[in-house]
Amino acid sequence: MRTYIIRRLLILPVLVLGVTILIFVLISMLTPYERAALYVTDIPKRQGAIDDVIAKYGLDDPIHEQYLRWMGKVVRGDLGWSKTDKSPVAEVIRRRLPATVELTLFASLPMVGVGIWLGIQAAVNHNKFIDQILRVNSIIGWSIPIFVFALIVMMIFYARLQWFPPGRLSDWAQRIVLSDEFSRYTQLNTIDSLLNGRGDILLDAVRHLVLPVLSLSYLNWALILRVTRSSMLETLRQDYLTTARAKGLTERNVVNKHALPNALIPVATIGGLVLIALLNGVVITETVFNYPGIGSFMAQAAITLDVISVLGIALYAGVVLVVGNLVVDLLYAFLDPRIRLA
Amino acid sequence: MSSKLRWARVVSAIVVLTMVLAACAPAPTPTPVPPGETPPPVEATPTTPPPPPPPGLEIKNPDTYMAIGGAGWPETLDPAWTYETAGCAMENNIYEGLVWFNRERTEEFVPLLATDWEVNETGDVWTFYVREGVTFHEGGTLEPHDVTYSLHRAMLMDRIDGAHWMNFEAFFGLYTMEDLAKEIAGDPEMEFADVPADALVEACEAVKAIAVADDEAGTVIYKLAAPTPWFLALLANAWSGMIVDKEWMIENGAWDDDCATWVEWYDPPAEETVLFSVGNGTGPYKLDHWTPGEEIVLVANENYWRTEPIWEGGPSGVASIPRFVYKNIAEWGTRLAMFEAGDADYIYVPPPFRAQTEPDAKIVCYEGDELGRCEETGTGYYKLFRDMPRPVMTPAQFNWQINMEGGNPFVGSGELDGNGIPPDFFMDKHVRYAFNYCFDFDALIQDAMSGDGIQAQGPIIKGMMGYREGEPPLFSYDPAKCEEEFKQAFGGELWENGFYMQLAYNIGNETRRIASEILKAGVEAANPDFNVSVVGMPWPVLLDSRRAQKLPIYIGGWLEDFHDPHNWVHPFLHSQGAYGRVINMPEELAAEFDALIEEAASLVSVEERRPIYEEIQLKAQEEAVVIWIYQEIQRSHLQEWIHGFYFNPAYCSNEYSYVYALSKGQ
Repeated sequence: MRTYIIRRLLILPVLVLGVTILIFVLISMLTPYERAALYVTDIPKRQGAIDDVIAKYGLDDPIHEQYLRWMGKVVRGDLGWSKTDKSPVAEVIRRRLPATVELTLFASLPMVGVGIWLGIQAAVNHNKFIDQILRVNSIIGWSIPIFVFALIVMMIFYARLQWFPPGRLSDWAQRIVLSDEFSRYTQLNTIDSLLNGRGDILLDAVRHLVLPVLSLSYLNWALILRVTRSSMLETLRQDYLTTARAKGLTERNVVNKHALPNALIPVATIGGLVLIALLNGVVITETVFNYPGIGSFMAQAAITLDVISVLGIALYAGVVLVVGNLVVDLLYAFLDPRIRLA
Repeated sequence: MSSKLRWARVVSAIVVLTMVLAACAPAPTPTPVPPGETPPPVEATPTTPPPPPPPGLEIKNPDTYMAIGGAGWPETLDPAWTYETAGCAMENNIYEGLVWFNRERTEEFVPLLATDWEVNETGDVWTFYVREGVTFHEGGTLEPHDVTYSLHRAMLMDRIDGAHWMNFEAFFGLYTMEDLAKEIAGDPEMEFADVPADALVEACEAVKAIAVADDEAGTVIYKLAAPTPWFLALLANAWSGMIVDKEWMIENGAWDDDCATWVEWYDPPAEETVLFSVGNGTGPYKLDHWTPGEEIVLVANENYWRTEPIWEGGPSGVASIPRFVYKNIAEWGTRLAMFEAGDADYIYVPPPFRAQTEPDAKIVCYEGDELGRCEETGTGYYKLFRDMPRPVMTPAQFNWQINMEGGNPFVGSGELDGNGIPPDFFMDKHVRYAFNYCFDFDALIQDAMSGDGIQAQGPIIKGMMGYREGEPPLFSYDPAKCEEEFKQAFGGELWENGFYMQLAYNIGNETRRIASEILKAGVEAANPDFNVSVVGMPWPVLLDSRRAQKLPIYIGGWLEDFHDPHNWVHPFLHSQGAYGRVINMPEELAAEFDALIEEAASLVSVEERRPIYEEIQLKAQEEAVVIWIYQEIQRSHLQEWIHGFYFNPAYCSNEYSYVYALSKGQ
């Protein structure tokens, strides 16, 4: 197992190298003047300004020189400066990652947990009314664009009812969190507020998570529900479950102890991919709810051709992908003892 | 078949049938528009009444003014580096200069960190008396040497394409520190890196000589290259006039006031200056923190020096609103939701969304010529300020000599063969006149601006010296004249052969897209062989194409730097101006404009300057240098409980450039 894990982690530098080289190759297709637009956001006021910017930032240096220059800094822990966020890229990721992790944590339980439970109900009540309702719901969930859903729920539950605001914290809570009277341990507002004994801030943080979590869940329930349902239906037809029932086991035991673990393997794949996607940031949800996570940063960096930020995010995404897939593989082994990780 | 299954099938069939019938219903037939006419604007037909506004919102966060912008974050909070409105607006709250605008008046100034000033007879030497008893946020005391250090530092920094061309123009008749150093070195063509060290030192000393402090006498003396009528407006700007604490700056790693070392601080990246995300001014607000991508928070300066009102009825003492929070939220729906919930006190409402919000305006205040006339609508929940002419003007700039080198996708074949345009297409006055007559100015202002625009009369905006009051713009939409001009262009060859060209606009800018479409429609309506293709481009591509002078037409915009007609005619028409240098007018015509502009700038009195600017305004129209499209009219949307708002077009942001003047309460 240990060897397997180490071997998988060794893929990471290769992946990072490949992705970053690919990005630089794509960048090389832009002219230095197009890349200078990151620094020149309005028409230049004087002749030669763009050429000066190009010279200053080495935008017309050979692409391999630019790459080696950037990689040299990366090796020293410097991912460069983000023009989009006005901070070092490493600091941007460090600052925004807890928000993304917090959203992922709170979204994963309803998304995966409820999605699986609903899928089980649909499979166990195959072709009955509840199955039909759940299938229709999953189609609707998959069909409604997330930004439409997100804007509607925000208008209803925030603009009208003022129950669930956007952002991470209300202004009054933010002031306390940034003050000396509040200690930061994890940068996750929910956990830190618990550790600081501030139930009011915990409640405020949870209120701010409701709508983004609901938006993400509604979309992803549909997927997880359908995959779980299909997998459960296939598993429930297996002969060994007939044997289990014949031995007198309750249906609950048959489903939860004997069928479910086998049915969860494809769900683990999908669920893992969904969680990896969450950790890479969900652009639309973060944008609509003004949630300062990795996704909104990534989108802004791409739009403004902030190459340095894009490279930093690519590094981060590579790490998430490799580690995430490794965790899913380990989960397979846990779910099915027959699977040996060689 | 079970009854449940049968019912499910029946219900499903009914749903599907309903959807099919709805899809197959005939679409309403649009009224045909006669050729050559612009389709009338489509009025939105509300299908449901707007939801009732939130009744009687309580004031949330009574100690905080929350402003939600939509156009971006500051690049920096260093006034010497800043040259954009978001940063400038923040800095206006943190820092102060010697003078400030007298409330809404752009040509009257009140003493701020100066108590008084005088100018010599020739108008090129200004003496300011620096206020005593003023403390910086970090504890230092304001002295005259802080004033001069602030300007020296800013001009010596002179970052690429920054704001200090205005100072170099005023003090030296040049545009950059690099120009100055090369001039002193004796070779304007040399590379900056090759300028000898002694010339660099001498250049620094020249900068120091233009602003001299006398701490004993409590004065600062400025020596201009020539009388500069807009000098006070320059000093009221964040980038020229904001004053920092010299000792504190040097302690924290800024330039040490030594001419032997200034090059080390020349043209730094924004993030490498001391004041990038730190503030230390004398202003009514202090920087509390800037969390990038999330918020900028300012808190009231408890030790603010002002004890007398800044103007009659104006604020004094500590700011009445203890906190100011600025957020930039690009998503319109989110901004609106925060406004409706009462969390935001001000939000930026782009013109296309005004129709959505304005039924909820409880109080409507009309600015324009009659300041502060307000009416209650009887419904709604917020305060709308409208009819405020912004100092922003949008032209469609012709390129009179298009660059064809290396190929040009915007000009088709590059010949007048019906499949393209030649490089000198806009050299022909008839072509320029035709494009002007083909443009439906009213349609743009009504459709894209929701009526909030004034057709431009030339480079000078309405209300400014040089604007020809009472005279309409030379051009208006006239398809007959458009056709007539086209028929005369290129000796008739253009009309016979037709042409093709591409019109590029900046993706994301809806107004420019609509302007492009309107121009296309007007031109193509004149002759079926005229083809204009509208192409949206990302900013980087557009910037590169414009720099290469390959765009036949560029629809851009200009927001004034300081409130004087020089800052309108120079950028648009001078051969060194931001627009003027890429229009590629013939040398003779360019020289005529340069001479007029420089003459007007050299005079002091309004009586002498006005006729010259009016002449420039008329000539710019008669030559149809560009299509002078429109000047924006601004609207501001604030919660009902915000008081003290006024409109000064010279502010970087009227809603939050000077939060000190606002108050919050029932």
